[in-house]
Amino acid sequence: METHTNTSAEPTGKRPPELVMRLARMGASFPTRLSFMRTVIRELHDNNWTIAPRTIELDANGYGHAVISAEGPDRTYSLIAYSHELDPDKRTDRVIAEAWDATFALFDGVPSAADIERLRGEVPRQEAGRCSPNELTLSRANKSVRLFAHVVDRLAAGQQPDIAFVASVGYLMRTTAVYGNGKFGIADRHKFAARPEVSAPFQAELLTVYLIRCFTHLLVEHVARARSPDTFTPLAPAIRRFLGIGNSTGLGMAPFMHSHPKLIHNWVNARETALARVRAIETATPQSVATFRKILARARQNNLEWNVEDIRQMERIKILRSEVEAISVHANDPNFATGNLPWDALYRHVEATASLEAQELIVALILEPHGDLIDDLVHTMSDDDTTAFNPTTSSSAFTDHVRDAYQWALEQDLSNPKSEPQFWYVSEEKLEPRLGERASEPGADKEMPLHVVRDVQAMMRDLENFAPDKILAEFLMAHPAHRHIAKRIQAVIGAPYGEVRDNLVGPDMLAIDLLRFKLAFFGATKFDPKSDRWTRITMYQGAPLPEELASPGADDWSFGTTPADLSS
Amino acid sequence: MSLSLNETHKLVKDAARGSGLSWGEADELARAAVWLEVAGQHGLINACRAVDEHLNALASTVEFSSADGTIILSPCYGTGDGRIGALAAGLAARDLLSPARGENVITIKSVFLPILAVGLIAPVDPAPNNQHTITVSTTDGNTATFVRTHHDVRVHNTPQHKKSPHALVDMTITSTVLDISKPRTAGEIIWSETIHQTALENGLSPDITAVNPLRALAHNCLVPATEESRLKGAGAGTVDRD
Repeated sequence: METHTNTSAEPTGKRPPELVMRLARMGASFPTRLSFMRTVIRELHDNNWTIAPRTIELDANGYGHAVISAEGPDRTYSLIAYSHELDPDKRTDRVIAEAWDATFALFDGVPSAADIERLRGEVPRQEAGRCSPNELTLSRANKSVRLFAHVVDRLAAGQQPDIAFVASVGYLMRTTAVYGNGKFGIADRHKFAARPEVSAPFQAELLTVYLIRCFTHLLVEHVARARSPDTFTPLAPAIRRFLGIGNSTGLGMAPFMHSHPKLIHNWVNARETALARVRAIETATPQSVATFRKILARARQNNLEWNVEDIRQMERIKILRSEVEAISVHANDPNFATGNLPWDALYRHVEATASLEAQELIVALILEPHGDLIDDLVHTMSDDDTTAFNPTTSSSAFTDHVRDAYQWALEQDLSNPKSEPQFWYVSEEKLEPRLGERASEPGADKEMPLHVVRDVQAMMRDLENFAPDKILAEFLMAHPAHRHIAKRIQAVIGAPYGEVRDNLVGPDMLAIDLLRFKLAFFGATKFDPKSDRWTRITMYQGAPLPEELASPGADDWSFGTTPADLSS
Repeated sequence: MSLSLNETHKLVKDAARGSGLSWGEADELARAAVWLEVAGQHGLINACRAVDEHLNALASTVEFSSADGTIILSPCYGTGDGRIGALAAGLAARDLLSPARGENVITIKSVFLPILAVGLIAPVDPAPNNQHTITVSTTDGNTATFVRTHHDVRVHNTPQHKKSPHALVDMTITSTVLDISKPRTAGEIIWSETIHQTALENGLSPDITAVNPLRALAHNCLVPATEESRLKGAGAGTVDRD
């Protein structure tokens, strides 16, 4: 049995926000067992959910609709999928697209025929349609055309697809948006936030993605079977399990992170608390060491299969591979983890010797064997969207707090225009968030409020000239323009991981770092940056299939790797 | 037309921002508008009026009185003739109405569009053993009273604000300990968790005449699209055929 220190109270050894909430480290994040896709699968496993197609009305080309239901102990959720013929010239991953290979809604319950017909007129139009509070999410996906065609060809011919080709893509379709929380008429999150099965962050959205993955498997087999029913063979389970869902993600995630500081704090605080608990373990058990070695081996193989065109990321991956090799040698030593505080020692060793990618990877790896110790933290990762605001605090006390908590922002020099060359804005083109160059592009007068450094400094200039004996409410009456930053600062009191400690409009800011951070918390892998502003990822690669959810090992699917054996 | 609560919030926030209100005020106005819609008090219509009011606003000096004798003089958005806008009045009253200050009474003279101020103040949960009473009095003696407890919001008397929303009124906001020995007077319950949950289940059905003006103002927040911004601003290629 492992022995722990600080098990009755939270450990005090969490990594500090000034270390964790820096863009460079955030941009090296990896999914952990607390990531939200893992939470979805654990819920499906723990509560014996069944997932099965309810309706399949697809023609020989796979066009039509299907309904796949997830039935749990108290409720049923159904993915309604509409599959369309798409002009190749209209196939784009950008939010500006107006047509897709498939469109989806997650229905709250089991849809009637009338519901399916109502939504047939709305869901395929996505942002241009109107849904109802009966729908919890709205989504769409495009095929990975070459792989989809290849898999159809092979299955129709009674063969399995080429595994190297499958591995080079990793998915049959990629989603380009998964909308939730009231967008385009769908249900507000508060409608269902209290339901245990979807109370953790983004559970409705990521259940949708899991069901879309099921749909892609169903669709490719349906088309292949229709083409040649006599020779058709179904996908080998090992390949189905390996096929995840792709996703293209752009800048929209960054403003979300900025506008939800308490939520982001809760995510990071849970991970950092988990890390601190594991680092506080005094002695490791043989079982935990064995599990660690197994996951490390999988991560090592996953890294070898992680190849991207982006030069910067590929260089980082190459360095990571060599660092993981060194960690593997160390971990396979018979004396590994035999000393006091073994996981802390391993973390410290990697922190002192390896890149940020390796440091964040080792966080994920040492959390993996310790579900019993840390999985409860999932329940702390939501936010009720209320902000504690105390306008009766004295302006002097508030000033002192800002000086203390926002020193990192106050000490930045904004006198040089080169210190804030970028700005975030919303384009009138389908309301797409974009990033512009302040000096050369129009729109800076409509900048989104992501410039915390400037806002904090402006407020402090007025605060320092305000009567210290008056209260914050009086200050805000005199200076209403500072209300948003004052409320933000108070919200972040007690939520120190809620603020990125870098200038989000600075010359070195790379949006891709914010995207990877958030996507890692979702549970995404195989980050494939296509520029510093958007990335492709893979979701649910290696995750159990619906018929495997009840198996004891259903939670053991992190760092999925190409199947070497297609017989299982 | 049905709107989700989140859509309603975003619409009003963007419209308020598009009319020149600060980000913080825009967010507060949007929260108030959603709360009023849930409570059946025409949140979007009143948000429209508030934004119009802001567009025509002049700096006013406004007087607040609270029970502890504090007098606060502050430049606020108003009509330039001594009246105070609902947003400034509501935010000020709400900020001053704090449990940390104990029982208190706040009076605000000459409030324009008082229901919006109610939408800012009434959502504040007074804690289980307290209540907030918001009294809205017109100059001719008519009075409407909104009583907020931990459980619900009830309105007493004829809500004059509905008959003549532009009426100039005085507001008194009182925070008191709830006397549980006295039965609560009936009143019309306009907000409770049940009502809120019903709105989440069904969506909101705001007055459509308010939606288009708000959308027009919200459009002011958007940057016109250009081919350059399409290519540079978001990064992705525009056709994906792999």
